Amino acid sequence: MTITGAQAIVKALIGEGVDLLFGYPGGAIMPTYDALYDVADKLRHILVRHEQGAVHAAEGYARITGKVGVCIATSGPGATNLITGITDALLDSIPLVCITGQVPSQLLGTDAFQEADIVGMTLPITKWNTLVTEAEQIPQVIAKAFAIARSGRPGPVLVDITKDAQVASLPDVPYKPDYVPALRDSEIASYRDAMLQAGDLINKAKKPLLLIGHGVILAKAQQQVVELAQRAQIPMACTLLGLSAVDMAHPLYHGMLGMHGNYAVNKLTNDADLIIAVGMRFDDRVTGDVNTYAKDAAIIHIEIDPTQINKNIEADVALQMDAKRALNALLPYVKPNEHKAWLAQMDVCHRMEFDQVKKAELQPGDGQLHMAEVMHCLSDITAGNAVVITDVGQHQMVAARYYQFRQFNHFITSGGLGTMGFGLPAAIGAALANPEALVVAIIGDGGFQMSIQELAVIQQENLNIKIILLNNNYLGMVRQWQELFFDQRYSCTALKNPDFVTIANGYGIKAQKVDARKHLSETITACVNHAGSYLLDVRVEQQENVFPMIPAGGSVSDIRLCAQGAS
Amino acid sequence: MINYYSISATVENNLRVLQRITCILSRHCLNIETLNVNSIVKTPYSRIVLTVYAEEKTLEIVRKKLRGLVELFEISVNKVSVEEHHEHYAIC
Repeated sequence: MTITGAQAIVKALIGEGVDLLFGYPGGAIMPTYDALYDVADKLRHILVRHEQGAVHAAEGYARITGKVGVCIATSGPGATNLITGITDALLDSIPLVCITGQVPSQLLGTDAFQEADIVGMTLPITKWNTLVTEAEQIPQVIAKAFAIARSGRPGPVLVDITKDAQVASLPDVPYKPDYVPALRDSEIASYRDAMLQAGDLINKAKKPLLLIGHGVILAKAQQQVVELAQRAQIPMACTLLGLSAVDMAHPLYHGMLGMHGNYAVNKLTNDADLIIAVGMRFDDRVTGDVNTYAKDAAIIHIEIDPTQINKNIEADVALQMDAKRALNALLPYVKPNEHKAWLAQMDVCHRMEFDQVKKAELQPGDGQLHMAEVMHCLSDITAGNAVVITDVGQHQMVAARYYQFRQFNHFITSGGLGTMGFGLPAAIGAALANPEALVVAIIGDGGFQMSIQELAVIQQENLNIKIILLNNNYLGMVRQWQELFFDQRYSCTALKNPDFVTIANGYGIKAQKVDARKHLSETITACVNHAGSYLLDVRVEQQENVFPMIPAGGSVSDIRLCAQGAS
Repeated sequence: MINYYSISATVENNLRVLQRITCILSRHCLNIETLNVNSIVKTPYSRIVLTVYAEEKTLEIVRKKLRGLVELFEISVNKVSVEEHHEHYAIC
């Protein structure tokens, strides 16, 4: 009994537990699409409108489910259109398997129609990639791809399969996912001294700060991280991708780190005597100028990826392992403690931020709507329980600052790469991953138009996604930088937008525009309560800037509360 | 401080492995000064020996990234003098 290479691909995907994949057909992947036709009841295919949409949707799906996201595309342009999303997944540690068709093996290297060396192109942006030219290789390569994508620090893998390999026959044997990646994280036993040292540092610290990154969500270490914070009364702060790892209403949660993060946790980083960084990589958006970052603090760095340890910030104690394993091993060494004076310092900074930034943003009185009040209103109406997906820009920072996440792993955004166009397709993936959840996509008018065609997927698949479009007719973040750092020379950032309500209606999606404060709450409520997808085009202040802000390359303690630099 | 390093890696004898290694080096702006690749007889492995000028910190990051390659079996990095290295290859 034999099967074709294409059938082997499909069989392997089902064998890996895949029941949903995103893709776009084309010449070199047609045998695989033909094989998908026979298994439509087991393997649901979502037809996106651009391959970049497929990879971002797979990212959204993977982020919500914790499973490997799968996308599929043809050779040449189909494959190259995946590149941005693959890079996004690499930087944000999202497990993906991308399968691309390739021209027949006898045409490799001949500049054949739709031939592109996608393996060569994706070498630096994948955990692993390979070209398959023999049908017999397919089962073991797919098994290896999934194992690598989900092991250690998760990431994307690309498998490029020639058309002749998809067509050729191979023996039909049971699929065995038996590839075991080499273990890269070390055994706890060898870290006993480091655990003792870390525990000692935590027990002696007067001003400790606990930094929570995406690794906490990936390792599902939320209970352990809160246990550590509570036991020693340590203030917690999240990176952008760490948001929703812990309940934001927790009294020890003090805000977001980074360029547009909260004042207290940024400003007081340089006052801390101990930084406990869990599942984060000291990204430049978090550290600002590394030469001035937390100079008085000892650093405990818990991180599964060895390449991130001592890369940007030197660690006094480095624990290269999964966050949950590390915290479980560390907790027995941590004694109950209190840091009332230190926590009071945080509160002083919170009051400053409220008085100088939040008050004006949340209670502007008159004038156009502010993004912050829209987010605050949405947060109140949804009680902080929505799955929030953002695009990239000002709206992303405002959503991160003002949405009060109460549920674990409910925030999806493009952090490392900052990919405009990410939001809408990622929301599609999230909605398919959890059809019962209230899925809200917060998108700016710039990024929305980078993947607006994916509205067709929402219509075709009858998905339930609420799109809050924060529309200021500008590429707002770039405009803000032009205002603050380029003498208000607004080069190529103004947008003359189409009527988004009409466009949404064209895709069969109910839509409404709102620009008056008095109607904001009722329109958001209508949007959230609508049975089905809904687009709310919110017209917001054009000249709005996002503060606080750490100037690029500046120290975290240089964080500004307003444009004049007062802090 | 910039030093001269010899990197010796035992890798799977497969397509693209050398490209993966050079990709990591070039990402960190490290130019390969010398390069030698040999298949190891009666094994599925190759040995790649190359030299680069690099700062210690950069090389440590590169070493960790190389160690993360799926096709890499083992790696060693040694600080060498230029003369020592050239003498070795003159003898070989």
